[in-house]
Amino acid sequence: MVLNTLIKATILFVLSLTTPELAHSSEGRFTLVPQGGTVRFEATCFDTEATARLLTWKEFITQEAKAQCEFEKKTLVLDSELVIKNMQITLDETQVRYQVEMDTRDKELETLRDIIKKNKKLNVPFVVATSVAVGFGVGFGTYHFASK
Amino acid sequence: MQSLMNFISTYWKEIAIASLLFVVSFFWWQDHKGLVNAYDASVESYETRLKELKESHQRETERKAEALEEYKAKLEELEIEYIVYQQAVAEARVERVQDFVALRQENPDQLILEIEEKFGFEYTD
Repeated sequence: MVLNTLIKATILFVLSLTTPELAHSSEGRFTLVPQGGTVRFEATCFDTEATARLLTWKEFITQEAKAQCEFEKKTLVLDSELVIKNMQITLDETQVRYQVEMDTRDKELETLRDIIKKNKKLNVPFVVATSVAVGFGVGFGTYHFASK
Repeated sequence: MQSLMNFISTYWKEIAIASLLFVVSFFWWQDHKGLVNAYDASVESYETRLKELKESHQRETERKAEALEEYKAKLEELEIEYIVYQQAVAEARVERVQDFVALRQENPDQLILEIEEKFGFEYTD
């Protein structure tokens, strides 16, 4: 059993020495191949243009992402500013309306108080009684003078 | 004079009632006037309030519309700025692609270094 395992291990070692590509487990490999050339490992082949585009994409992706992020951020800031501005406008105008309400009510109350002050002097039963008394007085007085 | 006295002595009750009616009517008129004034004051107050509220609403709507216009203008400016930037980047990318294509022909070793540096791949001859 042990011998069997040792034999298998030896075979694997020899194989890995003879075909280094199979045993190698790197991050990834590449090679430059001329037209019609062959590659020693299984590969996905890009032409020069595609490779250049990939390299360029790698270079520019950060910048583009940053720019997009900046744009989105600025847009969000603008949105928030608009919301805040609208709220400020509503607050301003609500304060104005409140002030108008208060001022007009105060003015109305003042006018009503003046009217009440003037009317407070009136005591209708007193007025009636006085008028009756004055009428009788005038009548009796006149009658008295006329009798003389 | 004597005839006036006679008239008054004869009709003093009527004169007294007339005087009373006059005085009471006068005070009633004053009272009514007070009520009308109170009503007028309320109406005037409501009218002022309505006018001011309408003006305030109008002003609010105008200010909000103005803010919205300002927002749209700024957003458009931002979008244009971003589009211009994207176009510039696209042009730079095209140029850079051409650079790499030229590098493949002129200096493959440099291209190998670039690929290794950017992607961390291992070059195999």
